[in-house]
Amino acid sequence: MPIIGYKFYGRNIRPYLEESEKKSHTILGMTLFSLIVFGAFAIRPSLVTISQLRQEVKKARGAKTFLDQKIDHLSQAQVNYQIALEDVKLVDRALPPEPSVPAILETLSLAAGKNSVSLEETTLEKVLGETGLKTLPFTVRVAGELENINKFITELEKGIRQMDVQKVKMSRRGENLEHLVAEIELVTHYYE
Amino acid sequence: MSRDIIIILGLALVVVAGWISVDLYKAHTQTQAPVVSEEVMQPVNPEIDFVVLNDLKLRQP
Repeated sequence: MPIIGYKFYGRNIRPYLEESEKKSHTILGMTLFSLIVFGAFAIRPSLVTISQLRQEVKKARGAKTFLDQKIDHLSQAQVNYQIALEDVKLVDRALPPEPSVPAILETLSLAAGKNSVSLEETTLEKVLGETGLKTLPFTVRVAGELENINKFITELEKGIRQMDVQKVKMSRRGENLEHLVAEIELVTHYYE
Repeated sequence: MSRDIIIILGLALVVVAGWISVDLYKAHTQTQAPVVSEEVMQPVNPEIDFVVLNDLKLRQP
């Protein structure tokens, strides 16, 4: 067996290792083969991993810069909030997180009493808006003198709870020209 | 014979080089999952509008 092996080597392999032209072809072929094998199974995965990691590092650095800035903003926001803590409560009264219908009725009742008009009827309409800022339309019927009704409307508009007058319909009641009935359409808002 | 093999190996090397280039391009351009969630990445405005607060103070009965 070793003799056959040597003969095989001498006839088929040795020329490729010793004859100058074939030897150079062998070296070139082996080099190309090595490059192909290493390129496909070692260099390619390494380069892909390096590229992915570089991208991740770049993104992470961007996120870190943004988060550092956000932390600064949060610290500043905390300081500002402490300064304006009392005043910020006013925002909740102006734009509460729920309809607060009893509070609306109380406001209407107080304003009516203060301005000598009689509050006859209050009708709440369907809430408008899906999420976030919601609008609650309602209608108020009051009776009284024109000047008093005017003061009543002004007081509602200037109250801490945001109320916007949409429409006012005035009519006379009986023979008394001074005595009027006003149907006032208003909207108020809340933020859920 | 040996020259043919060299040519085949040379072409194979070109193909492998192209494969590496395509993979590198894909790795460079593919969108990866964000490092931090979108919610956390929302910016925060630290300013409080004191003009509005002053207006609200004036509206108090």
